[in-house]
Amino acid sequence: MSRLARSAGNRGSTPREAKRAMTYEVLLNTVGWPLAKIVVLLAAVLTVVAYIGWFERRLLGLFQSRLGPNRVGPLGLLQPVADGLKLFLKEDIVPLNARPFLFKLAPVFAFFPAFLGFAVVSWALPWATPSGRHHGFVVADVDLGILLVLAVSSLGIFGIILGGWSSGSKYPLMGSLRSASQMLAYEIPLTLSVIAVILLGGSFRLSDIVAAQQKLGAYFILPGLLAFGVYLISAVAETNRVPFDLPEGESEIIGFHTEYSGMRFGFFFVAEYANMVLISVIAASLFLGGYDLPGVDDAALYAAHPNLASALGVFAFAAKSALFAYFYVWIRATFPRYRYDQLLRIGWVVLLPIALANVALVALLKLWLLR
Amino acid sequence: MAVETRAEKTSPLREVLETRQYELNMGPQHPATHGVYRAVLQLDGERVLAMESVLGYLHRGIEKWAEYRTWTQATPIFDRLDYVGAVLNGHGYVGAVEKLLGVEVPRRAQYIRVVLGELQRIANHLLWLGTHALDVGAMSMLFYPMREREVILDLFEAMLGQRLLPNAYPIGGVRFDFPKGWEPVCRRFLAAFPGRVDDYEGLLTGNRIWRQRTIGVGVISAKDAIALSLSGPTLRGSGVNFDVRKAIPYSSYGDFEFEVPLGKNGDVFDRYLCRVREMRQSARIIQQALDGMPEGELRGKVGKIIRPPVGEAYYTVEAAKGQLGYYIVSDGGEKPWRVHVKSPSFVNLQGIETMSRGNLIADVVAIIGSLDIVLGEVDR
Amino acid sequence: MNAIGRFLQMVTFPELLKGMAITTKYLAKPKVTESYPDARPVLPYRTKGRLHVEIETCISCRMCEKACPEGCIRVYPPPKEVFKTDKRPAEFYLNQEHCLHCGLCVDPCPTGSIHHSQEFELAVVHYDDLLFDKETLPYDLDQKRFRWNLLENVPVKK
Ligand code: SF4
Ligand code: SF4
Repeated sequence: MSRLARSAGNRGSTPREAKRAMTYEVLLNTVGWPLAKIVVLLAAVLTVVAYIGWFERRLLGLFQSRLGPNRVGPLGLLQPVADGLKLFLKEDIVPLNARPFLFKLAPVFAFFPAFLGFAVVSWALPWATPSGRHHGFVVADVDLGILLVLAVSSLGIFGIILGGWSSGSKYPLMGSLRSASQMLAYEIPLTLSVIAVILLGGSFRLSDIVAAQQKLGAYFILPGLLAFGVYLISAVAETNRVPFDLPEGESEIIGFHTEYSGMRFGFFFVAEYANMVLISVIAASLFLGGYDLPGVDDAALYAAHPNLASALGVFAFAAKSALFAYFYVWIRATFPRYRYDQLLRIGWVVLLPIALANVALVALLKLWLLR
Repeated sequence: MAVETRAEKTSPLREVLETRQYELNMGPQHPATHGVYRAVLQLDGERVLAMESVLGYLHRGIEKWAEYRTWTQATPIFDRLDYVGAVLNGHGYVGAVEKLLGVEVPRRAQYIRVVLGELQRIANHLLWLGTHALDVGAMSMLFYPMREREVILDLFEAMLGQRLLPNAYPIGGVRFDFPKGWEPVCRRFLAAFPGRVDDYEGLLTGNRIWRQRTIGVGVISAKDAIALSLSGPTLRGSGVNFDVRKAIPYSSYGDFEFEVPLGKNGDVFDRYLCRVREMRQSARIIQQALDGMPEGELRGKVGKIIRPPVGEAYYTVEAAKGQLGYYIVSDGGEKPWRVHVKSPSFVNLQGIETMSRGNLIADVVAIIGSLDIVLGEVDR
Repeated sequence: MNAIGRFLQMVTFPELLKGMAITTKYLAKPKVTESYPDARPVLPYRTKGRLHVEIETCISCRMCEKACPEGCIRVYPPPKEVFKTDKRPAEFYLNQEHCLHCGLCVDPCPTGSIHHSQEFELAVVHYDDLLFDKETLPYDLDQKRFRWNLLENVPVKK
């Protein structure tokens, strides 16, 4: 504050103007810019989430010798709009047996945590404005970024459990129970695999982890190959996708959102895709170097054309994340679904020991090789 | 929710904490029950303690319906028993009437029936494979078999005029010969088909998830299978070598060389393998039938109005689901006095309680899929 | 050796990769679905679509009526004096709603007046629209009832 006050004081000619300028700048820095970033980020993420549904359906169609949705707009690009409209216009049904308050609250619980994690993702190198200020491509570059992501992403499960329980029906309850145990089983390997990366990167901050990869000259997928594998598998399980889509298990128990209709269902739906995007984005920054441009000396490019480097960085990041999204769809197109007990066994008996051993391995690697 | 009187409550804590078995209605509206089949499951967590099948949601009174039509008019309705294996159903009925009439079906007609019947068997197994795999979660596997099935349905449409319920055969033979250009298309399909089956097997047979989901699940021993009078691939999955095409050859099945694939353990995986191998064998039979197609009449000597002599007949064919039998009784009139259908789906469904006891809900889904039931045939 | 092989198979999952290769193979292959109704199917000549009756050649023999298992067809022959010279039916009703498309009515017709067409789009707004009479049964009138030109792709009967 004092630094700000000093700098503002230097600019204004009278104390009054100086004070106003200071207030203005403080407001801009604490409210204005973050708000603008949040709005832009939310808009971007929501668009991506809407289109990742289209992307998935279209790609699944291509995998399966069909065309996929191609009726609404060119290439079916307006399909998400049509879907959203349909969900909005549908009748909102609250079952007689449900607990109305919790039933209505649950989708909100699932919806918001899914978007919180995006706040700490660092999308590119800071953007330089003509006035000489540098804006980081990140809403909140907090020290504990990755921990925050892990924490809030596990909050979403409350929405699922609440939704399943408050529906007052057996199938959703089973779905939410499955979801809870699956969450428990896979949260730990996921965290452990992230810990390995944190060890390698030496920071919880996502931008630091990317910087560490740039410094190392190799993405962490190489030293952390095992961690990457564990992350990939548990991420698929965390986002409830094939072959671990048991909470939904369409053909078995229909899912925790059996009783939901209309936009309340839409909230769960969007939350699921947002989680998928978040997990892909995190994977891209942890293991594939985030916004680092492969084969380019980023620092030199940034020194020469900072804004070009930033813009390219965003694209590189998006492309890397899209790789993961593609992978998700690919395995969805290929694999059957695991059974409940097998899923838990894989989580506890296979992944957890591997992840633990991997942490030790990476620690040793770090100690001896990557000093 | 049951209302309990105060006296019944032992302690409020116990009431809350006690684990209880509960009952779950699976179906009649459930994506995995392949129609309007309802299973009442007694569950302990997700484990099935007991299971009861509730049938009759699709009862249309087909057998009674037939009694109010003439012998000829009754043919189309039997397509609607097993609506994904219609040609074979029709074969069973016309075969029974022919037996009662004492009509000799010309050899060419018999061969055409073999070709169409085996095509129908492949189509049925393809649909089964797709839906079964989808139940177990493999999504693409719904569409790949559908693609091949589409070719068969197109062949049916060109040959018989309809894709699903073609009313394939008149009593005494077949209606039409193959249209021009039909055979090459069929042969092209047969040439490409084994490769496609390889792809299905590549996606499923070796896949560890598929194996874990199916091996050792829904086991039924050969003894139990016979005792429950299961038939078709469901029986052969348990290792019992019984195929009507071999045991009681009809429609010149004796002329063809084919194997009857057998399972060993009687689990879902073995039944799956049996059916997949059966598809390959069916393709082989069609190939032989097309190669050895005799020339000749298409229809035996039957009058315009069919009036079988007083008496009864039982005729059985190996339908896609298993042994399909027709027991018909004639009083010498224009209309059947009684037509009874021994439908394989209905009989095979009996096995489900034995198979699913002690398994999980997800296994029940896999087991229902592996039985290959069609509710139109179960409820009739 | 076998155990090592099994272990290797377990950690390298070749069979899962094979499955993924198969799906990728079909990703690149041409698609088999068609964009109906933009792409109109060409149906074979034998397709049992909606029934058409050439009233002009019909001789009111009522064979089709007797053959139909569902009782969809009602033929009303003309009065006796007219019948001697003109055998065309006075009324001819077809209830396509109950029709099984079984083709049993086509088989016995002595003049070939009743036959299936390749017209398969039978979705209508009201049941009554599926009740056809003398006016709507012949082949060339159906275009009034349907938005698309249904005869475009139909192979011509020889
Ligand atoms: S096709 Fe069959 S059901 Fe339809 S009118 Fe003709 S005989 Fe009757
Ligand atoms: S069978 Fe043919 S000729 Fe006889 S009434 Fe029917 S359409 Fe007319």
